[in-house]
Amino acid sequence: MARSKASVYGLAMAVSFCSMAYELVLAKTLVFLTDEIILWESLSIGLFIAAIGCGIFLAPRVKTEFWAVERALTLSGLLAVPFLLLLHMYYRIYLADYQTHRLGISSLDWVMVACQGPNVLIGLLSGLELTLLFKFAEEGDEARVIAFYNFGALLASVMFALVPLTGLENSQLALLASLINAGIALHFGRVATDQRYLAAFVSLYLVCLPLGKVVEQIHRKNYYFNPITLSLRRGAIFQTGPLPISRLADIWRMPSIERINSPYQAIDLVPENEGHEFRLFLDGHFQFTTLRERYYHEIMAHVPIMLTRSDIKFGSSPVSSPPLKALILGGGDGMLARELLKYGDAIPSIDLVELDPHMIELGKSLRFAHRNDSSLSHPNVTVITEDAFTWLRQQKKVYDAVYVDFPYPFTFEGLRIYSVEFFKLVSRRIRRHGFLVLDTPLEDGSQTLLHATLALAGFSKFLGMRHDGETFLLASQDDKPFHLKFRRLGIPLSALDAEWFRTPGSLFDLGNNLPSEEAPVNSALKPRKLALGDGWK
Amino acid sequence: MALVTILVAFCSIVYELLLAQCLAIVWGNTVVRYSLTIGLYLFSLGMGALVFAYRGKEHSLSLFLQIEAALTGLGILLPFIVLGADQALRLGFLKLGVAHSSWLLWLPSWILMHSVILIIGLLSGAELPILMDLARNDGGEKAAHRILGIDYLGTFLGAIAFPLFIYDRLGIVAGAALTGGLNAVAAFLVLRRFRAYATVSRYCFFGGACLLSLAFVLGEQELRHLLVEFLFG
Repeated sequence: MARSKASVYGLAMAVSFCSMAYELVLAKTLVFLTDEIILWESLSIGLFIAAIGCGIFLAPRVKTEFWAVERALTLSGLLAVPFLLLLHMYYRIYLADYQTHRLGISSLDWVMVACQGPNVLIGLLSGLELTLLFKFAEEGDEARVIAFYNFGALLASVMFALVPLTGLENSQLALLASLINAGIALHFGRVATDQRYLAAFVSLYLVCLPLGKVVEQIHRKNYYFNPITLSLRRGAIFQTGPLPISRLADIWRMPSIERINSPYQAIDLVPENEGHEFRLFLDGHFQFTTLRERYYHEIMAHVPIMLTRSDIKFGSSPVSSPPLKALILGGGDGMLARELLKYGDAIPSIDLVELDPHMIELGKSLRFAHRNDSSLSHPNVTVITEDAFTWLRQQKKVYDAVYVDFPYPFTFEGLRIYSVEFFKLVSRRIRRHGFLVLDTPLEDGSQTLLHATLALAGFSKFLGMRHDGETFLLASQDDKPFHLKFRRLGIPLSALDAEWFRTPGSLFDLGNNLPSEEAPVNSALKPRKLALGDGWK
Repeated sequence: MALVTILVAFCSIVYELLLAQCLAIVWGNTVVRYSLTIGLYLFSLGMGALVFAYRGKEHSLSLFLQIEAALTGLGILLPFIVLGADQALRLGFLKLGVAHSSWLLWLPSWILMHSVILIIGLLSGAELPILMDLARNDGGEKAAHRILGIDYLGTFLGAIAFPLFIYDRLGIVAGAALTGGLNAVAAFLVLRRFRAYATVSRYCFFGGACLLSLAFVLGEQELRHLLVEFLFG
């Protein structure tokens, strides 16, 4: 049947849009399940393009109709994400070795290679689709059809970049794309008016609409409530046994996990203690539990001040002790800011740079506000919603204290904000007698790496701090030694006391031992992997 | 021609992934950078093929060698061009008194970086039809289709090599240099196959590019420190 050129070009754009949308959704799902952005983005697009090529090759040997390929793509696109989630659940229950907090290829990645099945299938079908599309084009017009086909891919990638702003789940994005494929299948199959096909089409979507969300909630519950207990403290892994598939009926009784899909990460609030407390996870990684977060934030906030600023006292006048300007990078939960606000006029200015506006919104919500004492709404706190790396490049302000409260660098993207480039930007924003403190759960090799990275960035003095498995690094550009003594600050504290200072291993001074200039460093231009561990020893 | 096709396809996708990573370093949000870069790349590949189709097929091999020369130069110097230009623009506008929060400090750089993505995609898009034509002249339609398939294989290999080897082991500076060197090697292979086009100046250019690529790989640490000092020092 003769078709106008415009309709063929439009069709090329539409089908390419859908195929590319599926690929991007699948890549993003794999990234979330494994944390490896660069690996899975690259591998997924490479396999997808290769599969398109295979599809083009196979096309002359395969007798099929255009609408049949569209129908296959509709089903593949609809079911791909739930398939990946179910496979990942199976992995966590039966196959996991839980060596997942290390960068690099793990057993999970091999399972995820298998998960490329849907991506390859969609690529193959897309290749078939493109070849069948040429039958609608005029002779010699194939190059333009390919151009519009590629334009559809561009549209999909632009839309994909914008869609996270809507907070849609991955399965919902794939569902929307599959609607387009389904519409094309109905039209070209000439069954748009056939009641049986229409009934099947509507039934399929009525089932699949809630299915994606249900599978995602089951996956989430299995991920967080599965009774395997992982503990990497002191080198031991405690495992109490997986929740087998047959026990999944229990999963309905487990409390629902709230997920906030931000453009940058998945924020999960996992209830505990019958819903009175919760644990916060970012992209599946534990951040803190409301049961114990005060200990962590007190050590991080107050010990550096205690050791470097003997002049700071609660309620002191700015004349006798110069006010301290503080910068918090990350920390959108507001807990660290809560601690610093206890100093009153002694710390009159706290800038907080948080990338994720959803995190800020959560930090200001009632649920967090009564825990962080509404710190994010305090007049002394200026909240800036921006990427810390980009923001630092633009800044001229100088601070006395910089707190780096980011998620741990499990990925190459995370390593960017633990790089020499980032710390150079930070070092330019700290006064000479100021300090930088960051959370560093690292093994020995990575301690040396981070030490060398900070040294190259301009820091010359280092001190490790430890509390109950949490470790921190205090760094300074000043030559004066740290005052390694507990000092009463006159502010309310839950865990920090003189006893902690006397506990062996709480503080370990690394002095001024700088690594050699040849020591490897972590650079955004050449990342070096850091690994989880017990922290500074 | 099969090896040439694999090499040029490999280099093309690796350049784009390197660019995506450079964008991620400057702007953050890696998933969005990769997605947009791949989308722009695919689009400009199609545009490149289209422009070649309209341009006609005369002097294809000369054009191919010019494309390889451009890609080799762009590739070896990629991080310096892209990241260096971003910093140079920033410093220039700051010196002119532009405020730190002004759009002038990011928009020109954003346009420049995405233009490089488009340029590399356009040039790469023109490569494949030329290679297919050359294969068609030798072995007919089947040979041309084989080249198409091999092109996809090269893309796949590049997509695997980037995260596992090029970015992980070599980093951006050495990775770009090595990839540019591979482009030069592809051009060398073409010059050996089609001796009528093998001029002294072409041999010198691509030979020099290979040496420069090797020098950049060996001197990666020093070059990276220089670049980091300029960008963030």
